[in-house]
Amino acid sequence: MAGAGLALRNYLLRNYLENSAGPKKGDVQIVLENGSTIEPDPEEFADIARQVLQISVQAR
Amino acid sequence: MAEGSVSSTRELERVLEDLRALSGEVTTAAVLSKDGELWASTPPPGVDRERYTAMLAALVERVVRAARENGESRFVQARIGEEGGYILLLGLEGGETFAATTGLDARVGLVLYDMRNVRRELERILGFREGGRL
Repeated sequence: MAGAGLALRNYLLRNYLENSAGPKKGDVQIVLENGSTIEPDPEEFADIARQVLQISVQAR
Repeated sequence: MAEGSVSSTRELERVLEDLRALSGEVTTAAVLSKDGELWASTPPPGVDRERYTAMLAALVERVVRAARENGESRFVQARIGEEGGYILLLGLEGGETFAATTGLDARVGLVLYDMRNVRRELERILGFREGGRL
């Protein structure tokens, strides 16, 4: 019974997440251990992030 | 490399491949040690693993630095959106990092949800690896 409830919860959550809008490009969001969220300057991450993504595309 | 490390690397790679099978929007997935060493990843042969690892480690370092500047030594989750897609990072219990990349149209919330679901499995394997029980 509890298993079915958990499965339903996961199904509903998955459905919600599938239909929710994604973030914009050029943004950085970090969740810290104390639960707070910071949004540092995306420029600091842009160059390296672009390179990682370029390499990742080769993996497709 | 010790036999235990080889078998835990295989186990880590199996979990990462399972994630890719579950979440088709994940292009690559990897686990990095606290020191930025690549412990497991999904990129197939042909992908420049060394460069991939170096870039990913540099990105994690910047995320950790940003966390430190805000009074925390570690991060729980990071989402970096850039031209071409997203890089998603989850901090693991022992200080390792679980990373995944996606395309720009990915449903990032859903991918993060799937990553959180496999995190425990990765931590279990890494616990065995560090405890030398394999």
